Amino acid sequence: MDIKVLYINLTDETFEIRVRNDLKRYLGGTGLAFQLFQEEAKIDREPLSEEQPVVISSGFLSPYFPTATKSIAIFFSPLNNNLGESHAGGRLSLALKLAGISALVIKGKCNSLKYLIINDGIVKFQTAEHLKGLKATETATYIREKESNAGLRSILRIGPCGEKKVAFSSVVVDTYRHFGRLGLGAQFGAKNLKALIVTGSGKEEPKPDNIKGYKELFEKLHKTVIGGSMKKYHELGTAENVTILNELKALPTKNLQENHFERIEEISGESLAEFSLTRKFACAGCPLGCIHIATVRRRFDKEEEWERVDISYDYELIYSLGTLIGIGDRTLLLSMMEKIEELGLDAIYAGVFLAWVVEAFKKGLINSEDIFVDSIDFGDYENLKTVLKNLVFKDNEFYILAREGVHKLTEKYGGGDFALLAFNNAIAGYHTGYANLLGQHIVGIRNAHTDNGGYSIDQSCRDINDIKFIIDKLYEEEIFRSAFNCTGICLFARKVYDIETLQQCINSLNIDFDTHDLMDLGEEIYLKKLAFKIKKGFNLKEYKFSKRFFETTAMGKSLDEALTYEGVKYFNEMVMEKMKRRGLLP
Amino acid sequence: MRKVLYAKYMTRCMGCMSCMLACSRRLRNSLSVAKSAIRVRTKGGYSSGQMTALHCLGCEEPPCINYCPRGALGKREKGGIKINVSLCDGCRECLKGCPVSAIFFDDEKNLPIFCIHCGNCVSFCPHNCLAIEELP
Repeated sequence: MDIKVLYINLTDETFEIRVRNDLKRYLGGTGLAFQLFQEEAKIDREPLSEEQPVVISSGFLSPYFPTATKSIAIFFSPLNNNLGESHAGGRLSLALKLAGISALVIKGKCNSLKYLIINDGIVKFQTAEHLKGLKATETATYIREKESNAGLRSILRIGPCGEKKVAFSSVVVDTYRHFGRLGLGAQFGAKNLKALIVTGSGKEEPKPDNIKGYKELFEKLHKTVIGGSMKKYHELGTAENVTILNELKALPTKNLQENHFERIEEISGESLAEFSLTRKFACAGCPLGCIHIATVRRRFDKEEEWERVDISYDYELIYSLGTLIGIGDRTLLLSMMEKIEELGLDAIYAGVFLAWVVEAFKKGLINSEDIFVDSIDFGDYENLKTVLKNLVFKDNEFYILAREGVHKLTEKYGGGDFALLAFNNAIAGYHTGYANLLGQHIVGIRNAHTDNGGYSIDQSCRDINDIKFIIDKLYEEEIFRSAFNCTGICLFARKVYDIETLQQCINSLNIDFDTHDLMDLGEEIYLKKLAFKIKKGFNLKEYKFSKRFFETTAMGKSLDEALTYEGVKYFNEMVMEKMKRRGLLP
Repeated sequence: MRKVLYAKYMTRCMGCMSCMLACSRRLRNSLSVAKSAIRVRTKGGYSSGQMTALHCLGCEEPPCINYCPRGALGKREKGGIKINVSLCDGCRECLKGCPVSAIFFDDEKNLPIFCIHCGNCVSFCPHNCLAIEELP
């Protein structure tokens, strides 16, 4: 199969498909997306300037193997003014393949608010002026009614926060899935792009030389996925970790002033499953189904007047919109998740932002005139919600800065010591130890917990304080995941798809690749991205962690600041040597 | 007595499309869900909570047969349609005859896609939403 890239110019409303078989060795997903991004990115220009590209690439194996459901977006992040990368499931990967497209490269800016329909490589530009200011949820409703090919399409859209170019706004994918991290929503907003629909006839598909072998491999993996090894993701889901991390005293609470939450029982995975879980959904091509849907029943009037809302939840949201901001009421927690979905925000960042606001307010760094609420505290649902809405509706200095991110607020108001940021990305819900800290802040290419699973390394190596050992483990895992993320297989299935299995899957689609090639590709992509980040200003020698990470104990131990910085130094020397060997040093 | 595919428990459906992938893979050696004879979709988006499966209901007197101008379609003994591919010229008239819009089309082969009620999709549904059932 050819690698077909659809280049779209929003300014001129033009498009073309280019066959890019020269990029075959990058497979798809993150590898292909980064190569395309690097070709088009204007490194000296502002992250949201219109010539900057947004690249979205379907995983190479999506949706040809069970759980291969991911698409990868690479773009300039308005949060870190550097490399942005975000992953999403839903139906997008499948829809891109139905359209016969490996990747999209979107540049320019629509002359008014528009949405695009991509059907078999043909792009239509439609006005979205009528959708201006609408919630991400409502936007999809109107598009769904108007456009065809239900069931075989994917609908991406932004909410009002994306339109306002809030740096931590998301792109909602097919309801309940998101390009959440690092501000792709702001890129869409800056491009006047309200939504994107991808569909196709599925005329082009791989034709395995050994179709019998392909089918056998697919069906073996299908059985493995549903047969038990990934069961926990389907049953309680990642929310299972809420109780576990809380007991380990590793669950960031009240802006990480604490490491466990006194009201955990009401918002634990067990509790949500017992009282609120009503359904599970899956991404297209995943028989596991990890998307947990809770139903909220809410009274909206004094009489017996009720409404119901279905909301997806998982571990990270319970952390960011629950423990981190002190919300221990199940209905309020789920309602906060609903608000995030409507506004179109990165749920993790939104929680980190609110937690910082509360602490800054309580410390007197900001006041009620700044935030347009009389007072605010942890657990104060109504005022926390109002602050989020004010991101869209208030234009004072505080909210103008807030739209750029918490780091901008700290420059003006102080409070950097308790901002839970990792190179301006919000930290995920773990305070487990050195591997988590270094994994998210330093090694992780997206500054995300899923880059290398540092939280998991901390839990399996609890008594290890050998910082070099930890960095080596993180690096090894990061490289594996770098290769893995070219395939589009969900990281939840990483233990099912070991490197040998990945090779078999790739080979079955007539691509000659061995395990060495794969790991080498993983390292090449990672080091290229890191070189890009460094060139754009990610300075390992001057990196500073917020004090808060060392003030609160992690799984019962205090983290030593000096030892952490030793880890940074060791990593810096290691990767500089590796980049030098590959000729990647700036 | 008909013995046909029945989307019995769609309230349990997760939208994973394993059924569609199985149909395409097993019946047509295809990796594309577009070749499937069953189509799962939402009714108004995932947040509506409603999933539906479009598939041949195995009508006792299938109206699609009479729409074929070349006499290529006939009744399967236990429900559903059999097609004589040598007679089909890909005119797509049969698609108009299905009261539930459950006949699809393979552009590559220029042939309509009919469910043969084989149960391959049933065996790949992780939530047992589908069944092959006898209907009166």
